[in-house]
Amino acid sequence: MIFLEIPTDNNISTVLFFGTVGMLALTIGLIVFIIFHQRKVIRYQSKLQLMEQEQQKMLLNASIRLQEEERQRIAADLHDDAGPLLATARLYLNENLVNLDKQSQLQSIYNAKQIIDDTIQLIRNISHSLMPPTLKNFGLESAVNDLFQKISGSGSMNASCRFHDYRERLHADQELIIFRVIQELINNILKHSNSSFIHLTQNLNGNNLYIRMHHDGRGITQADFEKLNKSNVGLGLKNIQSRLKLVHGQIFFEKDMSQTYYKVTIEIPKTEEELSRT
Amino acid sequence: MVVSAPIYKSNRFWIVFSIMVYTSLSFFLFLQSSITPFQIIQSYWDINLVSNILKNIIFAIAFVIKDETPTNSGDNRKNELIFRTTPSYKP
Repeated sequence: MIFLEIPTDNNISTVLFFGTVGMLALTIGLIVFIIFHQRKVIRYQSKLQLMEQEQQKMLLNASIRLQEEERQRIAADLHDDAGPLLATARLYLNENLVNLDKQSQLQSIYNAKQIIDDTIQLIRNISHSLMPPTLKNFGLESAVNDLFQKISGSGSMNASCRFHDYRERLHADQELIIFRVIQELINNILKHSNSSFIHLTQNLNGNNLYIRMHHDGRGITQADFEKLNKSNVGLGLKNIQSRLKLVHGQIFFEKDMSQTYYKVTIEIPKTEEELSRT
Repeated sequence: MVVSAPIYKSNRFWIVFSIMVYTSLSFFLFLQSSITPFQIIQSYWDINLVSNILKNIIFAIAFVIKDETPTNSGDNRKNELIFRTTPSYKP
């Protein structure tokens, strides 16, 4: 109650001294607290940045490795399949052909034609596996339908897909990325899950496109996905993530409520260009 | 993720700091001045002088220091979005 007392010299100096010192201490304390707190935040941010960089590096490595693997596969396809076929065709069409009788000549030409037809088919297959023509010409829905029909046709698995709201096609690059992600996921399911069915659905909710896949085999959850993503294994999963990063998409792995199905959800936001189109 | 620069590398921090130092040092002096005789207050007026000098020094630091805090230059996604640079798709 020092403020309410009649001021004396002594009182004034006490109030002034303690008041000023207190205020200064408060100010300095506040500033020091802000600086130290910010330093802590900066340290945390740098740590996060470092982790992000490491993750980026891993994703880049994975995509480079995958690219090399793909090149090796194409090279092997061309070298082991197309090479011998063309060499055999060449054998049929050698210089000695003119000296043979007409019957043998016709036979040789027929054989060579057959082999060249096979080679054409083979090269068609390789090019289709690189870039499916259905995707380019008819869009994601047709390409995914085509893929699922092929899987169903093999008889080992029941695959079905349903696009609920895909009236307008996405950008061609975006469609390709989504298709590759679906391909990779299906590849994983076929390779590891041992499931009896795959079901894919597409939905549109607000500005996001959702693609959900269900299967009843062995699957992974989000925690497994994060773990695999941080480790050196799981090249395909890293590739999925780096692809989805390009379209600002997200992927979620979860187990169904009934604990029998595994569910994979891909969420892709629409680009501004698409939003302005609608 | 962008790591933010330390707060003491921004001019605004020093300006705020100087105002705070000046206010905290002179606050009680000004508060007491209305109820204290002029002769007594005059003997404590040095506090105000010191706080003024401090304020001016810190202001000088604020004007001299080079601001290194990042400015918010809008949407960072602009450069990443590959689809803006590619021609629009027409089926």
